Amino acid sequence: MWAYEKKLQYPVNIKNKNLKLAKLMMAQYGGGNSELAAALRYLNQRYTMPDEKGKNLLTDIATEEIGHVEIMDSIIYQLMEGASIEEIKKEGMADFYAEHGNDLYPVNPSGVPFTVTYFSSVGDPLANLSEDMAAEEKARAVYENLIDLTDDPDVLAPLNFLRQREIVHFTRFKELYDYYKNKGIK
Amino acid sequence: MNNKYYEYLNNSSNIYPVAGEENVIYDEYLRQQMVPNNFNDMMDIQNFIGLKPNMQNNINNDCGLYSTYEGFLKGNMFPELYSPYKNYKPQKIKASSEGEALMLQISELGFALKDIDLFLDVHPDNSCMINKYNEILNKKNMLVNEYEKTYGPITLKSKGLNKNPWAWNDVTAPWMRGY
Repeated sequence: MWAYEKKLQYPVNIKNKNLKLAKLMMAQYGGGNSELAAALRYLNQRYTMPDEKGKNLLTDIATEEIGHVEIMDSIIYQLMEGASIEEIKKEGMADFYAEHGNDLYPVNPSGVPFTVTYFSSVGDPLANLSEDMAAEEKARAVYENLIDLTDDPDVLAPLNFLRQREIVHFTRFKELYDYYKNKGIK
Repeated sequence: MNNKYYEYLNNSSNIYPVAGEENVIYDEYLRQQMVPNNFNDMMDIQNFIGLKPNMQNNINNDCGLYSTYEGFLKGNMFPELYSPYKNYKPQKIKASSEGEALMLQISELGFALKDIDLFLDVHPDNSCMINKYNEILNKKNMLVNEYEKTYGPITLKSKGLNKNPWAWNDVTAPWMRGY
């Protein structure tokens, strides 16, 4: 079961509003390679991991990913905090405001809502781990795209942190994949 | 607080521990991050509240890991895995209060625990890492107790919840306070 620690895994301290940037950040909040997709993916695949190693790794990474969902929503929240209705209209966020007011909602930058079809669970540990490795690489690439799209050091700091995490997660999934392959687990 | 930190910077024998080569590289990294380039930077450092390296973390038996300070800034405790994007240099993390600075230390240790936990899930028989994990866990628990005494509970298991009114409301939501 999940317990909550009232802190962010990594701090988010954004001084300057930027609604256009907030919309782009939704890519990693509700998009196809988002932290939310990652968390749900690993939570659904952990059941067919053949031993405690795999069950633990998927559960522990999923737990971290939920913390990353929180970092992304903090980034989006702070980028939009205090925006007036005029600013919301001018910066192209009126569509979002109409449906959600000042709440968040998992959509991608084009407004496409999050769907569980962004991830799979196929009941096979090697296939699942292959997807997990690809997912981490894709998330890393998307973070690089987002990093390319801003100069704000307050936003770059958590984005680079989150990007680095994808690299570590990829490595652990690869290590587990190789371990199972060598053991002859199919 | 300001003077102690500036003294800390100037007193090189205290900052740089004697050990192997990896510490020399770490020290150089630190020096680049913290030495003032101009008067404004120097004033900034004198007034600096934020995450500071805890030199007690960077001594022997580090299992080949970065110090918890460096690992946190980089998002990676493992030097062989670290890969920055396009020469990005992690920035100092600043705090606007002592409470925030203390919470950042807690986050620093919590992050190290998570990264070591993931390693141990796949490599469960590494005794150096297991010892490191427990050492950091003890430190973190002490810092959490210290934080909660002054600023309020950060989990629903805190002893500080034995108060009226309900102390869970004493601590602002993380996305609003930024840490």
